[in-house]
Amino acid sequence: MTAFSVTMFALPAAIIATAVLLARALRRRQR
Amino acid sequence: MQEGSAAVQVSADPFAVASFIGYLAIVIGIGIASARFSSGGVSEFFVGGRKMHRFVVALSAVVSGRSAWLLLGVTGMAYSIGASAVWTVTGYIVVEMFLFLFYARRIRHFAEAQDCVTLPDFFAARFGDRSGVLRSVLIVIILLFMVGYVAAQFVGGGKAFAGSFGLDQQLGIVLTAVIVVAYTTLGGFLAVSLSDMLQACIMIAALVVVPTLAILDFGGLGPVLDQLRMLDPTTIDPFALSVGAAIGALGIGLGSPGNPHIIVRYMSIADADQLRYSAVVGTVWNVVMGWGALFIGLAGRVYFPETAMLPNADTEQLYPLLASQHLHPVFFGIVVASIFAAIISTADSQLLVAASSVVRDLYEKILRRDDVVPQRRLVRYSRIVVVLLVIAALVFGVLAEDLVFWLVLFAWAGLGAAIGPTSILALYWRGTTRAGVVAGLVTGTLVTVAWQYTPVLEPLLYELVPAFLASLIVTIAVSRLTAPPNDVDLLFASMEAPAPGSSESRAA
Repeated sequence: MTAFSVTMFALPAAIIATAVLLARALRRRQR
Repeated sequence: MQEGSAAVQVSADPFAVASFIGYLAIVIGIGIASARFSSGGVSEFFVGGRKMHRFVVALSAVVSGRSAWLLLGVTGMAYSIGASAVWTVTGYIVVEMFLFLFYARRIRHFAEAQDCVTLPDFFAARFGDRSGVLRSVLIVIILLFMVGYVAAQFVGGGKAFAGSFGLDQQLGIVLTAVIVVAYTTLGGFLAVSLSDMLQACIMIAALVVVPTLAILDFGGLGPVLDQLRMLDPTTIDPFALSVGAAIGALGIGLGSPGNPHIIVRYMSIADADQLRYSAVVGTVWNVVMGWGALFIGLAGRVYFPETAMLPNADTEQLYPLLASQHLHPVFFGIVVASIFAAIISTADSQLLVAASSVVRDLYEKILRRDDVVPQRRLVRYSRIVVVLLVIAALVFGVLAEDLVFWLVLFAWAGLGAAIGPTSILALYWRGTTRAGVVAGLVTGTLVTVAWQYTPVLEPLLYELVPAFLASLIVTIAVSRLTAPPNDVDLLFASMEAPAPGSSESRAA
């Protein structure tokens, strides 16, 4: 993967995935 | 974030004008429909009675923070410097994700427990500000930056009207102000939040459709990248920037926890537990809009390799120009609406924050603190103050354009540096004191201005980064020398869980 693909495609996908994972972790903690 | 200009050299097409007017009618309709609810009291008028749905909060917080800077500024930057503009959007998106997940929850719990409607309310309650000194410092900082910020949005709207539909710019400024004042005065926070939902949908649609069509019309992403590589290989290198520029770009995100028109949205959600959903929705929206803007810049570069090919050689005019060439006039009207959506979704939220600091903080909590003022009267005053602030912003925008842009230059950074570190420490460090916060607020504001005006420092780094750090250090240092409030454990308890008997605990 080129640096372009990493920042323009993988990075935004990773940010969204992090938001989902953190939100799920918080839900477990709040239960 | 700084406001961009939008003088687009595109003639008014009846289809474009019709779709634009349709959009405006819906926005004003939302204001009229929300008027009854917002007349209930200052809590309803300024934080929607803390009854906002998680989806509304997510989109409203995201689009209030994104002015025309995203649609015109970031697209223009990606056009000029290429893929390295990616760091400009990455910083604030990541910071806002963490704000939704952690910071927002604490401030929301505290806001209900202590009946906080505004950000100065939060600071005053957190630090037992009986003298009103802390509240007064915040009122000055908020009004100073917000009125200039709103004025700049109006000027941006005037330029967009002038460029898109051939209207006189001054008339365009007044029209933008009239549209904003109409639904904000009537519908308050509810109208602003609901119209933000519409603005968010228009912005995301335009930011997906425009780059997709432009790239497809060129034969796909492969040919676009080949062309960019041929024109200038650095345009597809995301690391083709200096360390200072990268830190500065990522540092834009430090402004988010300090801009009250974003923070007050977190205080408005019906149930703080729902903020985790808002975090996901808000992040998806931020990511799609941010990367959409980047791809517009990259696609634009292959269509217009030289800046001289853009109207007035202005990179900020790329977005509407590209849209006008790839879309039917009806959809071009929607793209113009998306620029307005960005402008007015920011202006309305800033206007409410400025009005709340006059009516709630100055009038109700300082001037009339010993009296009980009827809620309906406060709402009436709030509506009057919104109109007065719009007039002030208009006069400012028309007569003192230079001063407006001077203030806007510092608004995102100044608010971010002053309020960001102090609010984070107030939420997370028991040792924070009132004197520390006042010192941090003043330091953040002064360092922002001083850095920008020091020729040796200014090109090194975006002023928000050093000013944020200076404010953080000064707040901690002064707090160490002074005593925190006696009831700090009780105050922290009200951040960690919903107050007994609160709407949140009842919902649970």
